[in-house]
Amino acid sequence: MLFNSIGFLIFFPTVVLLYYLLPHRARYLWLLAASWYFYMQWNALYILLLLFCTVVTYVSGLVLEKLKNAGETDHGRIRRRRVCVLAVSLGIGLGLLGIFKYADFAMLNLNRVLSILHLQPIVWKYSIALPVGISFYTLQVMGYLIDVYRGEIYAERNFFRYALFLAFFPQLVAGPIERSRNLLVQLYTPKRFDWENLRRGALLMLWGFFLKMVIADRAAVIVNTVYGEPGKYEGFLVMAATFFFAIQIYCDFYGYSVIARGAARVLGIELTDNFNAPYFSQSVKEFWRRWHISLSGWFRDYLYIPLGGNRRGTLRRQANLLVVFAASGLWHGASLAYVAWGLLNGFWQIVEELLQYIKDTLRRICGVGDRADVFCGRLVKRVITFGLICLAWVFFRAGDFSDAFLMLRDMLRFDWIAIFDGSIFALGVEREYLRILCAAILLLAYMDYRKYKGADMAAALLGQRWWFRILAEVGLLLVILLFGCYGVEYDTSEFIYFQF
Amino acid sequence: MSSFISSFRAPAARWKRVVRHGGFLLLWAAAFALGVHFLNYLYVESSDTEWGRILWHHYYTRERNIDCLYLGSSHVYCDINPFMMDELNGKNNFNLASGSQQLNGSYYLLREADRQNALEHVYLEMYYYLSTGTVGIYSGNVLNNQRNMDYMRPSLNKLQYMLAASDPRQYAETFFPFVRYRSKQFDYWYVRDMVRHKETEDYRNYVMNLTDENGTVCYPGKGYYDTTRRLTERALRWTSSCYRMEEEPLTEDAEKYLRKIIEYCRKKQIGITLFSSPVYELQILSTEHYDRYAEQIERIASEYGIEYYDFNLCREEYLPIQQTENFMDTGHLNATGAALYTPVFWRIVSHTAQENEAYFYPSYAEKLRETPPQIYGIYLTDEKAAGSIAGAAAAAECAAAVMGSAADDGDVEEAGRDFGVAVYRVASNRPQELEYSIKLPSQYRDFSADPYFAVPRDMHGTCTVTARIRGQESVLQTLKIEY
Repeated sequence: MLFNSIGFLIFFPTVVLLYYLLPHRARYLWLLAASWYFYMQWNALYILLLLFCTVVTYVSGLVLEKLKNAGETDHGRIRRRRVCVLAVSLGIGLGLLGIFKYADFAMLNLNRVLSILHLQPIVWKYSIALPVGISFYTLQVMGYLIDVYRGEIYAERNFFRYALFLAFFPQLVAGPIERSRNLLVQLYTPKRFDWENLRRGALLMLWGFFLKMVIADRAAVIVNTVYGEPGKYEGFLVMAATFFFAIQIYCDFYGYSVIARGAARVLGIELTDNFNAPYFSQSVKEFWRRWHISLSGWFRDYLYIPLGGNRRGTLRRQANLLVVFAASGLWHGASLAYVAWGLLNGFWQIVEELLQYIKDTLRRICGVGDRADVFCGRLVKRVITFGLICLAWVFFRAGDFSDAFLMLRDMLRFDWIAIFDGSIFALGVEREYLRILCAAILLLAYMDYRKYKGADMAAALLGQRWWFRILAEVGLLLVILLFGCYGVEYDTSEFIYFQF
Repeated sequence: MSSFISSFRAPAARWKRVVRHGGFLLLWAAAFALGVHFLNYLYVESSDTEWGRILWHHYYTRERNIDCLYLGSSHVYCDINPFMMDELNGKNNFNLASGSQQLNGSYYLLREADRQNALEHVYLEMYYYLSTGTVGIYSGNVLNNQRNMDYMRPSLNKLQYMLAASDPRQYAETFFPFVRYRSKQFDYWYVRDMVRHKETEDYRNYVMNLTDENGTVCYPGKGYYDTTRRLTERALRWTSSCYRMEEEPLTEDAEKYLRKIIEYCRKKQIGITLFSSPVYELQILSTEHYDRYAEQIERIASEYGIEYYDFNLCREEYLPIQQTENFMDTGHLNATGAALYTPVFWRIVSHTAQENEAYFYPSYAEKLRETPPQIYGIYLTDEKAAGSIAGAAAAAECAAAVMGSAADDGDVEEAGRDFGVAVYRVASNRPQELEYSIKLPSQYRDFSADPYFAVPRDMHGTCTVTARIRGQESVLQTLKIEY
């Protein structure tokens, strides 16, 4: 069930209504049932996978805690046993991910190696459909188990509440990847029906639908046209398509996250804000603090820091960075192009660090202050950062190396005339719709800029006079109805991050 | 006790908040409705929805109870004159018919009428085109139902109709009509024309008054489409329709709703009669196996013990309707035709099946057998034939190839699909007995038993079809047909 489907428009109000009508004790059970139903709309059979993962990690969490409190004096033995339990449970989680997401990829690459070595390739005839959301909920449970192992949280004893932590429908299929400290705790707190939550949640959902249906899905038409035929388009058009892909993936994923936050907010639950105006970043490092925050945080806490983080010298830190970004790339998709995308993002950060070091050294030698922190300097930094991010997106969107290099090559074959001859209007989006798209992107840029500056736009709107709020909200809804992509003629409605 | 309920069982201050928020929601909904209304005003094509708008207005502002209700497609509102019926049966008759009304639409309109009237009898038209083939699969043909709903007053029945008649992906178009015209949203001239038209007196007063070179159209009330337009020569002999009947041609959707309508009438003790209005012969012939359809409807009708009258099978001596002056086009009667048809219709439906036996042929095949041999025109056999035309010359060659190699229907259709060729068939009542000579601007074929011929899809002109009885030298009939 997609957020932007009619099914969800019926499902969600029903869930909310019954949620607040039921006594508090029964609410989490109702939410759990609704979440499982929501998940089963994609493939009913894959609920078994989710259940298996829930049971295994629930038991592992309890065992980890029991071992910790066992009262044995042999701390070494306890530690070894706890490590063993953690390793087994994490192994199961990673194993599921490996089987469902990486088996084809692993076999493909293994056979490549075998063919280089002139050995007989392994026949692999199995094609496994990726269960929706598996990448997200496996990371969530792994984070939970590591937290329990570290003693940072207590293991959850109520199975159904734990199952809800894993399956909570707004964030089940594409995040945000929640920590138990945030989500699980909120599932215990009694929620009263609150108009404020309803207003704010509904507004967030409306904004999310706008991002998804008016911007992302419209931009997708241009992106799919150009990236669908690598080698056909040149210079400006490839650049434009890459720009629109940067916008598309942002609005697609940000839109999903905002709808998820809005839906959770209506239910009285606050989810992590996954994005914080990332395209206003002045460095790639800053970008990654603002993009997919829950994933970046997860990799920082559970991979980067355990690898040594910043504590073991510059070279080791940079190596850790590359490992983390390679892992992040691989998490996004079972393809070397995703790994390249991740590595490129890590590499940009290393180069940035190096340039910053050189700049600081020169400044120290010359005895001059930082002149980059003026409007033009910040603008240049933002443009360069955006350009670097877009360059990396080429690998992400192309999906394989040959296409990515083809697109990069085409980008260099720049033809100025293409900017003015109207060929951009032949990419599947009519002139007027392109104008609407650009206007919507400008609105997004304004909202993001205010967010970057620390403003809470939802609160700002909700603080306005009633007639202005009505005008803005109804206007936004009518704009979605008029200019959004939906209905029988559009097939771009699935969220990009569902495939991860 | 849950917080939701407890928030309503609270002191005055909280009640105040509830009223404030409730008021806000109401204002919000009103602003949204106003916005939608405004966009509908700008974008909804007036000619698309004009019939529905006028019909529903007259329906809701009627002064008397409706006794006899006529449901069905445009054939009903053109063919049956309710004013004449009022005089004939002494009841209040009303055509709640609309363009391409499918049986699911008829079902919900029946419920709407039954909600507000003490109905005595329902006459349900069974136009074959809307209940067979791809058109008979209702989920794929929502537009006509949407036009029906636009001006229905809000009710639970309307909501059920909206939900049942459209695919969930089309709900936005169903609930907000302007969404259907989104392709026009940047067309200033279109919007200007719409607004201008909607500001005219006729539009505001629900008046339909059209005059052109083909005649006049007006709406006198009671759901009747009064027209003096006449069938053109081209339409008489040429049709692009291709509704070839298969075995059991009624679609599942059509059968389901037909049964629902009958069962509803039974439950509410409303009399019901099924009928098919007469259409021009060429259309019926283009179905190739019309009896399959008629027999299936007859079977369902007899299962419920109700009557089905197919006026396409009515004998010429009782209903001499197959004259051009009676038709507006090949499917619809004009006012002259309606004046001829309506009394015969009443004569038939007011008598029992046994009493009416003499009026009808037992089957369409029988009717063709009893009619002297003749040709009626040509019809396109494969409307799906498409694809790029490499060039007129290539297409002409291909057409020649098709003519030379056509062994059976399948080959002809396949060739049409592959090469972008329009494949026509000569319609006659004795295909086995006749042979045809076909003369096209660029080709000539002497008499042959093969009734098919092909032309490049984008080429038009006049062909001459001559027929004679096989083995005889004398020419039976010659038709000049524009294609």
